[in-house]
Amino acid sequence: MSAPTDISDFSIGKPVRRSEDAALIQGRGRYSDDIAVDGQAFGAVVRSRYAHGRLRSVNIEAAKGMPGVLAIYTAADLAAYVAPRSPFALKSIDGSPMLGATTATFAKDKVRFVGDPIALVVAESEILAREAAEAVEANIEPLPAVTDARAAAAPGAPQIYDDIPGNLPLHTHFGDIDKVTDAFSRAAHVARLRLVSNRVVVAAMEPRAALFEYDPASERFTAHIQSQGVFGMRNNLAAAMGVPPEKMRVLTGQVGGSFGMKGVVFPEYMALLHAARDLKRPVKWSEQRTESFVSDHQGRDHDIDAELALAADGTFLALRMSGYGNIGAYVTPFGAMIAALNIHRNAQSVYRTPLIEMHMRCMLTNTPPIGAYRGAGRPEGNYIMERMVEEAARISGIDPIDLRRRNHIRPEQIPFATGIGTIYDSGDFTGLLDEAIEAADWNGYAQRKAESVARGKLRGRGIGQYLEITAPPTNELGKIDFDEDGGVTITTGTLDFGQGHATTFAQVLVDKLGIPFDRIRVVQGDSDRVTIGGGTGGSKSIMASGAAIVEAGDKVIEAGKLAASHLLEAAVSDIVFSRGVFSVAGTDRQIGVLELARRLRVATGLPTDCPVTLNAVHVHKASPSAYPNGCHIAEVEVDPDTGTVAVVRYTMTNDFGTVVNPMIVAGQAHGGVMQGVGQALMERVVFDRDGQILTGSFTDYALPRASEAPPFVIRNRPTIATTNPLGAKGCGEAGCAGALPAVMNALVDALKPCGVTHVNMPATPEVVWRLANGKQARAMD
Amino acid sequence: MYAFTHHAATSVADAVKSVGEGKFLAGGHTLIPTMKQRLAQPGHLVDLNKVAELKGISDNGSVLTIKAMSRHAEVEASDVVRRAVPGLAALAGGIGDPQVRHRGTIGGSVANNDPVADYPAACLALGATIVTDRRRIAADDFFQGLFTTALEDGELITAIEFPHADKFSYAKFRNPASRYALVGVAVARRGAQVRVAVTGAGSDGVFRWTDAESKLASNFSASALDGLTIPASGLNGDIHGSAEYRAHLIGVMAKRAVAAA
Amino acid sequence: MHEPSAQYKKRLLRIKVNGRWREDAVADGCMLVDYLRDTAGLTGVKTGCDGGECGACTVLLDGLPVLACVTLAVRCEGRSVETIEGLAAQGRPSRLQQAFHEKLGAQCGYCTPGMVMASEALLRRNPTPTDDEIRAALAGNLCRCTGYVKIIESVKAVAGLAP
Repeated sequence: MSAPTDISDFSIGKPVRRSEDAALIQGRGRYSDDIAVDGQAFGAVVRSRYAHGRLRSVNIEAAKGMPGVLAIYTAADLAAYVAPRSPFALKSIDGSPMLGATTATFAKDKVRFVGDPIALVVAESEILAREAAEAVEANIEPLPAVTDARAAAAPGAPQIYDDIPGNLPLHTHFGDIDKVTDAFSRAAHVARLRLVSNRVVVAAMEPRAALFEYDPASERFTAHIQSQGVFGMRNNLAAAMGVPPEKMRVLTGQVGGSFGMKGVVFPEYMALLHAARDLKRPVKWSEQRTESFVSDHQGRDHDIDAELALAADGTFLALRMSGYGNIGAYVTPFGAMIAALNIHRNAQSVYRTPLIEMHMRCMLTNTPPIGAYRGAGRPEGNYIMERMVEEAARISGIDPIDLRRRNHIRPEQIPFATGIGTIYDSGDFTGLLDEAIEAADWNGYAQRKAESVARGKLRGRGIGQYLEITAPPTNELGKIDFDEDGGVTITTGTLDFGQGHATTFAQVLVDKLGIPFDRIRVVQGDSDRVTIGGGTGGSKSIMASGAAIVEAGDKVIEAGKLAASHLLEAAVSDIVFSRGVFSVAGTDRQIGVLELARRLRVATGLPTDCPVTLNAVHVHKASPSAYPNGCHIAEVEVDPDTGTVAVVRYTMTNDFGTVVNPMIVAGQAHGGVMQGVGQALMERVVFDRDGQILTGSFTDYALPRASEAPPFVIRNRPTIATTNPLGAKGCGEAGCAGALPAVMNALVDALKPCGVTHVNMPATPEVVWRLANGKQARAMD
Repeated sequence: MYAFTHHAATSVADAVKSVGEGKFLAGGHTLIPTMKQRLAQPGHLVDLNKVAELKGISDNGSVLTIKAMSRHAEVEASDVVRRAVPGLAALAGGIGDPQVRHRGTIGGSVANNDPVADYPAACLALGATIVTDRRRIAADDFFQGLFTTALEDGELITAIEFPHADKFSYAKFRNPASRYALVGVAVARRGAQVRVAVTGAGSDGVFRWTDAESKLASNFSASALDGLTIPASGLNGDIHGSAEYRAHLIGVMAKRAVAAA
Repeated sequence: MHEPSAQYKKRLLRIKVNGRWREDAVADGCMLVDYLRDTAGLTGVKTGCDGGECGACTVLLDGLPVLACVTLAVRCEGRSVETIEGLAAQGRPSRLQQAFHEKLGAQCGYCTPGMVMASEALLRRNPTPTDDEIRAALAGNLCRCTGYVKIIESVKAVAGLAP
């Protein structure tokens, strides 16, 4: 066994280098598209070229006769399958359930967005499948399309579903109208802004891809597919196909980014599973990037009027929001929930604001469906609140930092029950703000600004203080197996798509059981082994799997003490466990945990009450949501001649509770911030009048590049969460939540000399140039 | 991609003889993606990669000759170019990204005449001569609109000749998505003569900004362009920038080019 | 009307891949990325876009960074191609690869092979790049996870060190 000092280098809090990397840096990752099996056929999807239309017929005859074509499937072949429902029981104001929660697999009578799947062609090779797909003739009678949520709500708008009047499947209201109305009537100041969260594409660098197999003998499917948790994906695929869960195996290897998108069942999967069973052949499918731009779920797209009522002393009395969530052409598992619930709940942020009202119309439009994208309502809610705080400071004349301090929930008020029903268990929001200000060299700003001005540039700085509510609780597996080869395997149902789970979770076990880091493996990607699991999403993996591992470790220790008492011939009560070693208190008799596990494997004739193994299976019962929070400060420089905005300094102080691996957490924060910078300054999905996407490739859709990465200062200032065994809070989405308001507040500050008080995202160069030069905005911006 | 046949030409004569209804393949950075997206479907590609006559950069003291298959990275790094027309090396070094610069060629870029490409502006501003397998074409006559040139079917660019200038500089504003020129302005001064060429912005491709030329001819300084505007009509407008914005950027980039020249 | 792609003529192609000569029957229309992944089994080369937009397929052709997704395999006849799999020596990651490990240059890992190869090309011709030179060298490589910061740090970590 390694010396204890070695072990502590790998324990909680250490920047351990990732065990995942050896494969990834040498090109040995196994992503879905890297998997090939003998006899595999290839699928290609025929998609609608119209945003809205009646699907009169689909002529597959010509395509069927083309070389290598094995089969072509349309909606008629797939009628038995049902796309999974939203797991959220959302209700409209009148108490009626959300409409449109179940949808057909492929377009049947109508097409509803450009990219809507119509048919699946399966052929002997990918190129033959694609060529035949081009020959499938979809006879579509075009209808007028609507791509904007407000327009979809207008009288006379094209109706996308016959049975969803007004394109409005969900119309929600949260909050006490009377109390909020009263608060506004008492307000000394009311800040008002219309805030748009622009639609973005997820743009995981790995396109979606899958390989589906079917074994007729066992009537069992095997799906090699990306996911955010194999247990959930297995259940959802099985339900979609109408087979028992044990007839579906999901295998997920490396996933090249997901950000929420790859966790759900897409219509293509059902058609491909059907094809594998029908043809008794493995069927492979890889999406092209142009397909990703229309067939992957997209993110954001909310348009909200917000009002913040303040007392004369700056106390926030009430926040009122009313708006539209564009959820695309189909109701996905998460699209409406993000708009209706998450924005409202996350707008509470770090402030005491006693009343928050939200009136949301979730609108169907002729656009790709909206799904979860890094933060899924959390960045949007925080963006709204932080822009409102700045606007409130502007109209009230109160210093924005002072205004924040006056309204912060104070440490002595914690645990704090918010008006929206959350209970903050930890946090020091004023302390965090103060440290961020110090870390950002707030006082040195005047000189930096002067230097910018001397170069003909405008400079601004902005604060983005945020607090997120991590995903709702789910049960999670924590299984620890002591293997024959002396290694230890953790099996858990979250899923890594770049976060470094194997490293992080191993650190947790190093800390708990003193097992050497390099002996520990993590298994997440096989639904035959992950017997329960809530999956990854909503920044909750460390709370879920981390807690499951800690608690499973307790079981190992308990069993180990009993076993050690036999082997060391002492009373159980005299056995102590520390740093990987069971010992008899007050003696030098001891045995390491790995050695104990080995002895139990080979031992015979142990007493009946002695455990036969240290292996532990544990299900962690749902830790409550945690509240990661922090404060970002951005400084931007604007070239007024071109409108170019550069983020030139970026400071983050974060409270993620217990940080298991600060290097990995910093990486998560950097990535999240860059996605936020992208949304704030360059990214947007644009449709033309007919619903055609105008930003359908990386040459038209601007993604941040290496040249845009600002220099970062990052600090952790944790307060420990009291609601899970690790004291962790999650960090995956926090970057976006802080970056949107920090960057946009900085930009508004920079443009203040030009009389600008608000800028909507994305602040593209032309938008900024117009604002900086007093020109009218273009209609399309 | 549709099926095609590939022929590796060994000489200019061989290339021209064998192209037929097909297309010449230079760097392939435009043609191949276009074919992959099935937007072009030549049945036959004549690969110029191994044609030795199409490679090389030389200078005779007054004219810089860059053979057609010179990669952007080669132009960027060429001491000959850096001595003869340094701004042209800088322009080449600013094209796309390293992967593009190591594959893309000057001949391919000029022949394609993409309205957002950089080289056409340099050709026009410097008054280059486009040399083909059969004739010499002045840049003023060569660029004839979007993706349209004076080249006949089967005609192959073999070299571009750039007469030296007293000053030459190019400034561009990149499209944040594609990194191509949203607006690029090349400025060349040769004695009292000034030529200003604009790429990225024209709805009919690269063009000369004669108003700026006359201002700069009398006073070659950025301030000479103060107050000078170019009408937005005739300029390209799209999701990346309106015609009005592009018109404004032309002025800004022209000044920056002059200041850097 | 063109013949279906199944009608592509194949020819024998000789390419040096990661230091070893190979001979394979390859269709005229075959892209280098497909040749490397499907024929040579080098799945470390990644496809992230439909052609020339993301940099994930960056490999070295005669030492220079090119995009395998828009390079015809037949154009590489007689030439040397290096992929991410070829950087390791005697099974040990190169110093650059090791730096991506030390500095968290990889998250999901999908852009990593392209990032490493683009960086490798930079360092071979410029062993001591500045911060700006690194950013410029990676301008054609998209990453959605890292925010680029730690990729840039990874390259910086080996700048000035012997390979």
